[in-house]
Amino acid sequence: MKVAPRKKIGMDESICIRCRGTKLLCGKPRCPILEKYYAMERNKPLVSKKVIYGASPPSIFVGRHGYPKVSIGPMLPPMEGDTSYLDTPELWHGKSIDDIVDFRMKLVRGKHTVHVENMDDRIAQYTQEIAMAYKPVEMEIEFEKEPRGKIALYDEVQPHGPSARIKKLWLENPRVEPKIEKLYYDEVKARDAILMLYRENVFVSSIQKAFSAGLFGIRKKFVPTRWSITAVDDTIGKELLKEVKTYPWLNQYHIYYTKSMDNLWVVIMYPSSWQYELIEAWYPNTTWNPMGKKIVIFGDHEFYNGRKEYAKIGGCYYAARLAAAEKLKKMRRQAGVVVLREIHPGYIMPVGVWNVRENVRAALAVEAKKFDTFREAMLFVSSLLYIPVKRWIESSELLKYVMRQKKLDDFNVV
Amino acid sequence: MFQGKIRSDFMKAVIDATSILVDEAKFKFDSDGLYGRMVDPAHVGMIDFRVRKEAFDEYECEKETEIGIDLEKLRGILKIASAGDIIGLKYDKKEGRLEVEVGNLKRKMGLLDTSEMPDTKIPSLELPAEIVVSTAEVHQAIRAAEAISDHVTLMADKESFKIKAEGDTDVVELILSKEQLYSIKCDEPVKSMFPLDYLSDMVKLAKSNSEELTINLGNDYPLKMAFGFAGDYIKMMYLLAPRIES
Repeated sequence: MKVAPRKKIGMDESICIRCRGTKLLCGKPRCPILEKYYAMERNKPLVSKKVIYGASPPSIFVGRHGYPKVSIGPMLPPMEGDTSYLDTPELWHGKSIDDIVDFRMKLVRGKHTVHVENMDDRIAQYTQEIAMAYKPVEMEIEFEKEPRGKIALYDEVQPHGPSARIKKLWLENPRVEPKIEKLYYDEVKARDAILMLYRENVFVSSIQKAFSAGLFGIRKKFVPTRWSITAVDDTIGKELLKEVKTYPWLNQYHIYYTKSMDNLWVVIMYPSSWQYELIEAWYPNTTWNPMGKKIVIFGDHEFYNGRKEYAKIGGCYYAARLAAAEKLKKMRRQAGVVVLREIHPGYIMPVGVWNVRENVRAALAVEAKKFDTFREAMLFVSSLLYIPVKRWIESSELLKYVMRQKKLDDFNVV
Repeated sequence: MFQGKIRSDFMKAVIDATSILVDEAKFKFDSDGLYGRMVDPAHVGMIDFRVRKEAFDEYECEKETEIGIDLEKLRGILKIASAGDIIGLKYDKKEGRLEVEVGNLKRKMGLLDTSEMPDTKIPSLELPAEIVVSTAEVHQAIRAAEAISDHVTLMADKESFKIKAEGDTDVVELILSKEQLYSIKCDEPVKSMFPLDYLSDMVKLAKSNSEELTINLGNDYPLKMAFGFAGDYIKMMYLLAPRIES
């Protein structure tokens, strides 16, 4: 079963028929349908077979539809050798949408329906072994039918290629990551396992894979990929913030920024106890604002004690929060953090929340521009942004907070 | 130079009260005692404290001296002592370090350069209302407010003092009538709103040191909060800037 994206990529189908990728009536700089098609073409001779042999990066996918009976299975490209980059978002910063689509399309998803707690199932066991591997795993999958050929796009999960039910599966003995294997046999609680691996510098994406494959805990079960990404971001972020909250405040205003895939990221850090906000501005004709005529701005925030409800804007909130917490921990400072994201029209398809995590990390890896006052900092911010800073402030609970909070200096003269 | 002996928990209270707002502080010693005044990096909160020489068991200071202290470091040193222990403090300009004596142990601590720490000026505020209230009552209200909001409104009129917080769906309200207060002096009604992240730390600190809290209020105006302990020989005062409704 294919998981539907949050919104359809196309809109009025008739315009696509009238256009056929030549006039670009949909208003996007490139035709998303062609985009899929081109990538598909390149892969066609390899994918249009019922049997695929290749090296899984390693990569697995756990669907969420029908929970607790879900489609699980490995993903593999029709190629051998070192395919690890195909499923390591930590290595993707600076890649274009074309690159991402191109290589993610190569990942063919094998599907096998199983109850999330059924660990006696053979394919379930294989899937777990693959998730435990630290090196690509060579395997051969025979599908029931030729994998059906289009790209699957999700909001939070990185896209992948065609998928089909697994008929037979053969794999070499995976070389397992000893740290993960130990946690598996020791039945370490999921939360503790996530944190232990993170402290040992295991990639967040690898932790998430292992968590999704149900390798942690006493009662082991598969966790849909989509949920696992946010669960891991949230768990690590919360833990880091416990430490961050013991540190002294930042004593200046720090501005960080980066651009990638036609997204502009601006991070504002200001002297305060921990508080955080992520606001996204979707230009018309971007992935999630395909029909809009106006820029749509959405955000979520938390104060010192965190939030109780799941963020309306979804997994990206937790991904950016993790990146911010990592940076503050490294600086040994606590601060207010506002992440502004302008999504410009070149961002034509969703690529997953890794994009948020890795880009905020990348922005924060560069030396900050530092200012002594909020005014000066915001003046600089306004020089970076395309949308007027006034509109950003109106949309931001925290920036409004910073502005409403008077300073003692405001009262010096009576 | 100066030297003195003081109860370690008194010193710890001073460090705790100050580190709510800053991580580095300038402490001054003169013939009357130890004092300090610091504003936090966001310029929202200020502390002004004074430890009179009477709060010390022994005190000696020839001429006014100022030293820069890494509060976390000094707090760590004070942990060596138990509450009620008398510790010795000694500073000699030639030595350039603060010597802390805990029992027979001498711990010399490097100091920070105070030339980078400007003197904090106290804003001249006209605060028409003065309320003396039970610290425990205020503490309880602030704790309840924290669960539902990030800010709280303090109000007073001739007859009562009020703390109110409103969340999206919930309300916290503490109303204390004249009879339930130690004293109230308020001719015109006053009302100001304050950020809880600061206020709650300040009130927590007050609660662990004093039963009474003196609050001065105005309209959309900073809050002044004062309390004393160690026989009133240690006095602390916080100022907190208000939040203004949009």
